[in-house]
Amino acid sequence: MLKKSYLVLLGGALMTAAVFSSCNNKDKEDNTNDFTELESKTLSSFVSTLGTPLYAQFREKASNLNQSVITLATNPTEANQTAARDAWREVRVLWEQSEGFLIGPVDDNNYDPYMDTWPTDRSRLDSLLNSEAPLDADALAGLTDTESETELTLRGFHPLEYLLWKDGVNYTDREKEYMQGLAQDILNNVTKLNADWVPFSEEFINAGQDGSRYESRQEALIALADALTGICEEVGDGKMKEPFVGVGGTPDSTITESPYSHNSVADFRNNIIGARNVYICSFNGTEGTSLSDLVAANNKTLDQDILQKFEAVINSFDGITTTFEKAIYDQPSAVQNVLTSIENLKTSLESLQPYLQTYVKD
Amino acid sequence: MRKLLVTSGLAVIVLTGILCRKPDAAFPESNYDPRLSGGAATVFNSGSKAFGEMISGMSAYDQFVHEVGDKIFEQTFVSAPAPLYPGLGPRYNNVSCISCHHNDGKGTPTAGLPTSSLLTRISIPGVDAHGGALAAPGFGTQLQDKAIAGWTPEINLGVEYRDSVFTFPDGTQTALHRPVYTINNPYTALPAGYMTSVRLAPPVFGLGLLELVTETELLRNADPGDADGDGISGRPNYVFNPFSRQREMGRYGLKANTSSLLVQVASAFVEDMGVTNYTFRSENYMNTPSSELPDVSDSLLDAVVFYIRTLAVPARRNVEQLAVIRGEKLFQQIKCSGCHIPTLQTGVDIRLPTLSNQRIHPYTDLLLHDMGEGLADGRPDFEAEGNEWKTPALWGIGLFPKTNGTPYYLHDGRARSLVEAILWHGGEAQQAKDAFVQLPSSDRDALVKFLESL
Repeated sequence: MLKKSYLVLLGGALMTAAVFSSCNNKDKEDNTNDFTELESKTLSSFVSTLGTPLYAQFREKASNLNQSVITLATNPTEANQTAARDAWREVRVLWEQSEGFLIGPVDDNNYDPYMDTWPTDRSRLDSLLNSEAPLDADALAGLTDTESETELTLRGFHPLEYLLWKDGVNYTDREKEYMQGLAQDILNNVTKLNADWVPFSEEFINAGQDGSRYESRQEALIALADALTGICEEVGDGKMKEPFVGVGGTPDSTITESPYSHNSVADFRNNIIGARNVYICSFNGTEGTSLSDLVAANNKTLDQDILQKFEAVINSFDGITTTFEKAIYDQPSAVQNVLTSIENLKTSLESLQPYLQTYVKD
Repeated sequence: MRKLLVTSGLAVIVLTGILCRKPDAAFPESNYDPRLSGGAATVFNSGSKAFGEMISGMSAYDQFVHEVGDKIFEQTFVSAPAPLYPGLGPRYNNVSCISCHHNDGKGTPTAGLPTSSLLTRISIPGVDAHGGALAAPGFGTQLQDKAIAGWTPEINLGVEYRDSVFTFPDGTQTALHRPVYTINNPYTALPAGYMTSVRLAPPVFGLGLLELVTETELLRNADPGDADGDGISGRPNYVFNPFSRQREMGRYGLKANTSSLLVQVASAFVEDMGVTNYTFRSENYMNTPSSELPDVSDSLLDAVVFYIRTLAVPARRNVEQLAVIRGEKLFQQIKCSGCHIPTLQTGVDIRLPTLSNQRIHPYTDLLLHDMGEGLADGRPDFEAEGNEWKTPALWGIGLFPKTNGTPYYLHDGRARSLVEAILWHGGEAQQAKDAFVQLPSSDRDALVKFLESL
């Protein structure tokens, strides 16, 4: 029989262990509850901190563009043309950032083709200008005559870009009419996009509940993660790589997306910034609960890795100091550096899906 | 002596081992992973891009070709002259493959809009030299409702719906959307007795797997004379392949009127977009001399075909849910599986091991079936009659709401829910449809849940 003091100690030890083990269970439960809350907060923050405000600002900028185009058409001076070009560029910032999350109405309801179809059909654009067809926004959208909705290659950002970056300001009357129609059409589409976003965002926040297309929070979060890898692929393997690699190894600057404005580097950079904003749930200085928080809860290494890779890509764009069209010929190592950084980022982002599948249980 | 004993002892052991071997048992059904609808060519993606994933196991070069094909699939074509991608039209239905095949799936059943996914086939009574649909003079076998500057579209299609209400025996109601199509503004007089068929773009994934199911395997499910008396009489559609100039079994297209992926893609390029290619050197209403270069290069057309061939099938979801499992049993019990055959085996393409020898679950027999008056288009196509359709694959059907926002089912997208789609089944499917209607609502829900898991 053990000495009495040892018995007491043993008893005390056993009791302490019992107390601590039950405490541990509670902690684990708390952690699970905390994580579940984190999941819901991530979904709702994405909408309230990023999605809704971004689309709202997108509309604001589209409205500014519309105004500046009206000003230019009414009074075609170089100053007004510069102002309109700047307004076009500013709208593109929001649009390209929103491509960091190509989910919801922008995907379902074809807003991307309505606003961003490329290439423009130059021969038909010229025919359109030479014809007598009405060029106001309603006519372009086929609202006045449903059978004459204008082809996508003649609507959206790029035909407008073509007109705004014309040399000189001696616009014909038809061109003035057309640019106003285009700007108004863009504004109308962005307004509709804002409206369509509302019901989708509710489906997103309520993932896993009745009425949502997402059967679980996991699905909604994975949709977001997929959007991030998707935009990396589009920029890295598509929009940047194709002109850079060209056909048979010779770069081809004629196949860049915003060829008239030479705005491509800004476009690509904003795509990645937009994706990062999704990852850290940040917009205009406001931050919310994000995928980053969700990942850091169980895998700080992965989170840090992704954040660093985002930084690296965004910084790598600084290496391109001229237009993209020139850079693919004159600064190939800088361009390659960006492409490699994007590839690295994409590889890290690909770990998001397995992480979410492991830890998001609902 | 000792050596003899050892040797004979060993011989006894070896002989026993050889002779007492158990016969190979069949791999138990339950050991297969039910989520792998495409076998090794399955991908775990249930988002909006689920139909656009590449199969695994391809060499770096093959992946590159797939990506080139993907890009061309999404590429907008414009009217000539243009430095990039000219060749659209002069008459067309849409400017890119992706415009109709939204996210590589079905699109929206409207016509004439930039985002429309409907097109209309046409023909006149009779057959052409190869037994196929006879072209309508001035219109060909497809109606293009858009045109480039200086040309008029062949027609405009009017789409309207008349709704009726269907009441189940237990009182539940569903609306049925009956389409009424009108051909407006023909650019020239339509020929007498013309027949039209309005079609919604079908999904384009999984076709590489279906391509490899052997004809023998498919014919095993055929029963043209309904010899087994189960009311189902699937039959193959033998068609003419204009490229190989052979008579072959069709399996692509809503009436299985196309026998090869190359012809399917190439004819879509020329008919739906007016983009000529090495398989179809001219639109049917132009007399483009064969000396003129096609609008899309041979390699790019082949890349698109390869892209389609190497698209993966999305994995099933929620296979463990009780309702899904019950739904699957009901699917078999009420004989949906008589035409929507759950399992097929692919043959071999040595270039694509991921597609070869796969056990796949497309839920189709790729055969023609009479679907009744309600769905009939009245337009024969090779051996397919006016009331016959090829069983469409059901894999991926549960993801239509994701890939297209709003889902549309059946050949012209008239059904807005799976229940609606089932209610349109008639003809050989009448029995199964009636059985579905008679099921208690919880069973009907379970069956729908099963379909949503595909």
